[in-house]
Order: sequence, then structure tokens, then C-alpha cells
Amino acid sequence: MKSFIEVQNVEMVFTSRKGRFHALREIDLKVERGEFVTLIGHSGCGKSTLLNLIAGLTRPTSGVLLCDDREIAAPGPERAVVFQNHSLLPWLTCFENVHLAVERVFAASEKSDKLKERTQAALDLVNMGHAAAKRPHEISGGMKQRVGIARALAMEPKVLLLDEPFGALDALTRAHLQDELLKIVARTKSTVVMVTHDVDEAVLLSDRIVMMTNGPAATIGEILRVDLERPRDRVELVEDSRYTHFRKAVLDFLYTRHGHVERVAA
Amino acid sequence: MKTFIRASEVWVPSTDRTILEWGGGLYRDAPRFAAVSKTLCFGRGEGLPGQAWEQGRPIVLKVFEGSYFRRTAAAHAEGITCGIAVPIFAGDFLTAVLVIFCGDDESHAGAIELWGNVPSESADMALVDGYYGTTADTFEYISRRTTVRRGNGLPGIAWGSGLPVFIEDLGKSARFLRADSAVKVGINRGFAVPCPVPSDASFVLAFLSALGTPIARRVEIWKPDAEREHLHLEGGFCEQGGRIDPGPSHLSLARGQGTIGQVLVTGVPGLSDRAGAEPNGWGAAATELGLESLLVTPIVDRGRLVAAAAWYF
Repeated sequence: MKSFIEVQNVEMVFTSRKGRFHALREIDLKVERGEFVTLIGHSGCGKSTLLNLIAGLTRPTSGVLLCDDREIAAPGPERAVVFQNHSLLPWLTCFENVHLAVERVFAASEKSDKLKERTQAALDLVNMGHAAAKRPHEISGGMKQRVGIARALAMEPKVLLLDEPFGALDALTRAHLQDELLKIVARTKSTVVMVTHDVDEAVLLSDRIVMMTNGPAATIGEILRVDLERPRDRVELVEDSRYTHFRKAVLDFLYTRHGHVERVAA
Repeated sequence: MKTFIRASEVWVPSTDRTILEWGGGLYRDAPRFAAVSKTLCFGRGEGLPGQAWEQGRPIVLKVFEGSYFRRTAAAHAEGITCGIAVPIFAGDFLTAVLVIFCGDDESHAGAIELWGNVPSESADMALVDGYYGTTADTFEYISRRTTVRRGNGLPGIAWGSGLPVFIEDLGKSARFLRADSAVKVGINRGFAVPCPVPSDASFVLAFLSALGTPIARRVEIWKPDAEREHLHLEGGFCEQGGRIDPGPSHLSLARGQGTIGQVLVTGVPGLSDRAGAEPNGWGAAATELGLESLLVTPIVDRGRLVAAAAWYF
């Protein structure tokens, strides 16, 4: 069976005035349709670079990326990205922010009423229907991020690409949004690739955790299959020995075998 | 000191290459199993050695009853419950089948994992099978869900280098918490040995050693020189003496010298139940350390011996 996303022998070298920086080497990764994959590793390991390559925001120095058997050559509405910074337009309301994306994808084929219906449905999906008329500065950070996710989902993307979407939020809000994301993905059956620094977040959300070695010239070190049943309950999982095993395996990779960043810092 | 490996034996092809004949064994505390084994021979596909020959890759056999294993009663009588068979090929020419036996009673703890990669199917090396004794549930659970890339993790390092790798502090960490939990699980040392096969697949056997029962009492890694006339000691670990570094004298054995040097000549695993008789002062050192027997396994890649691993019991 063909994989939905395929990254084949990708290398990424950035060239600047300071010289060449070899960010990624020998990246091979296959993501199945409907799979939730997280990329985890220390800062500078190229997680976001890999996500940007899948998004089509940058092109690889060598190698090939495919989505649904088509080469990824540029950004496209079938691959929606949610960044750590919500990236909402401050002069538009939440509704208008989402509507902009809906128009971009569906305006050519659907009438105005249908577009509005889609916009409202996306806001409702993330429980932000009540704040449709508010502007970004009038809502909290967690709410902004929810609107960002609504905007991404409203485009009905084949792939949801999340770059540390909850990284700037407080712990409680982050936990709440993680639970919301689990429910949304269960409903939409989306394929998700997510960058995170958070080991618990990775274990809670993922079908597979892709653990990356330290940069420069970072690559995939190990891949852990998290076969915990869904739906997952964060409170119950804390007492589940399997959850502890997964958590320890990721920590072991990050801090025992690939912890030189910390040791150098210490 | 008990070791996790209970017995080891070598099966070599007959002169007409139709059957595998008994080529020696170290059975130590399993005399009844030894007596039965010496009388047997195996055709291609017969018994555990014959299956490894037939399949052309290492095999981990954890359940003897109802399987192709032909020595079940004798094995169980000695507490042996698992066999690992490793065919050794020079190109596609079988030189021998090495079989290692373990038991899963409480006094023999540890784990042996077989990792494999088929390049046309995956970029990863995944667990093919594993034997975990009675004490390593955590490692089994995670190992079965982890894949490693070339050069990463214990099996991935052996895969990447094509050479045996010994890590003496698997559970050691800069953070005390994880070091503590590793000690609780009982795994401390890891020894990974690549097992080249004629196909383009790659296999690595990883031996995870528990505190009370190390895989072996001493392991050494030897590499041939460019002329292939000598084997040089590259490193290893001794449970009594700690890490073995080659040192400035760069210890070496000539082609054919002792059980280790003989492997460079034959490409067949070497066995000796008199470690004290080894040449070049090796035997005297072994006697001093209380080492009784010796198994030497060749790593033969594309017809050339690239390294040898020596196991002392």
C-alpha cells in the first residue's frame, strides 16, 4: 500500500553569508492516511525544517517529498499549517479570519451562504462559535490558537501540519487544547504531522513518534509506535504502565542517547 | 558467576554439503543436552540449525514444543527454553551454523533481540523477534514498538558500522532517575553483533545483559589487519576487570593462532572448553580471571571476515 506522505532521502542545506548549514540528512519517512505522527527532538534538530518541507514552504536540497502520490512543490490548501504563533490577521474578526481561508479554497465552486456555513462550522468545531465577531486582541492565547486550527480545518486539508501549536500556551490551556485536538482529529480522520518539544504531548496524541538526532545534519534516529487505544484519556493514561514505558523510551532517546545539547550547556 | 547464555554449539556442513554435522559445543552445566546433541545431524530445513540454513537468516526459537526443534525433552531437562541459530555465510556459501541456548529461570536473566531490515520495505531496522527471559518486560514492550535508523541505538550502531558494538552502561544516564529505573529493570550492558546474510537484508543480534547474569563473563572484539595475517584486539569488556582497551601494545594474534586466530583461517566459529590453553599469554590471563571456556564468532561480510567476537564463560 502506498503511503499518504512520503519523504524520500531528503537533504536540506541552507546557504547564507556565514556559509553552508547542513540541517537535515537522509530523511526517509512514510505517513499513512489518517495517521498522527509527531516529530520530537532537541532545538535545532530540524523538526520545523522537515515540517516546512512537507508544507511546501521550502524545497529540499535533494530528495523527494510526495503527498497522495503528487510531488510537493509548493504550499497548497490540501496541506494546512498551524504555527506556534497563531498568525491571525489582527484587523479581521475570528469569523473573517477563517472565512478568508474558506474563500481561498471553495469560492470558485460554492455560493456565499455555503461559504459562511463552512466558516461557522469550523469555528463551532473548536468551540469558538461564540467568539466569531471578536478580533484576535479580544480573546486569549488559547482561543487564538483554536481559531488558527479552525482556519486550517475549514480548508478541509488532507494533511494538518502543526508546528508546536500549543508551545506558547500555559499548561492548563495546552492540556485542554490537546484534548480538543484529539476529539477533532477523531471526527475529521485527518492525517496529522506535528512538531513538539513536549514528551507527554507526543505520547498522548501520536500513533508514532519520530525521534530526531541532534543537528547539524540531523536525521531520524528512532521511531516509536504508540499503540494505545483511542479515545485516550489523559487522566487514565497517567496510571497506565504502557504510557510510562513510552514516555521513558522517548526521554531515554532525548536525554540519555542524544542529550549532548544539555551536557554541553551544563 | 552464572551467564545468560547456557550453551553454544557449532554445526558445519558435511563434505558433500547435504547435512549439518556437530562441530563442537560448550554445554557446561547441561551434560544431558550435550550427550544428545553430539549424536545428531540435520538436513537443510531440519531442526533449528537446518532451519537457519534453509531460511538464510538468524532465527530465535522460543517455544520448542510442537516446533521443528528435535531436542525438546533434553533441553527442558536442563532448563533450556530458547535457541538462537545464526547461519554464517561466506558469500552465499554456508560455513557453519552457530546455535546459542538460554533458559528463563529466575537465576538466568537477560534478553536477546534479533533486529532486521529489508531495504526495499523500510529505511528502519525493526525487531524481528526477541527472547526476554523473565525480567525485562519493559524492554520487550518498547523494543517491539521501536524502529531504529542506521547508526542509531544499539542495533542501529552495529548495523551502520557492520561491526560488533559493546555498550557497558545502557542504563547509565546523566539523570539519576533513569539510571535508577534501569537498575531496577536489571539491564545494564548491551552487545550487538551484525549477522550478514547473502540477501540484501541486514540482521543484528543484540544481547542485553542483566546485572547478576551477564551474557558472558568477558567479551572481546577483534579486527583483522589490512594483510589479513593478524587479528588485533579492538576492545571489549570483562565483568571482573571492566573495560578492555587495546592499549599502546595493540595486542594481536596471528592467523591460525589459538581459537581466535583460527577463525581468521576458517570463517567458522571457534569453541574451546580450555580457555587456559590459549597462546600468547592469553590462556594464563584467562586462568587468572577464572575464565573456563571460549566461543569465537566470525562476522563475515561478502566473503571476508571483518571482525570476530570472543565470548568467555
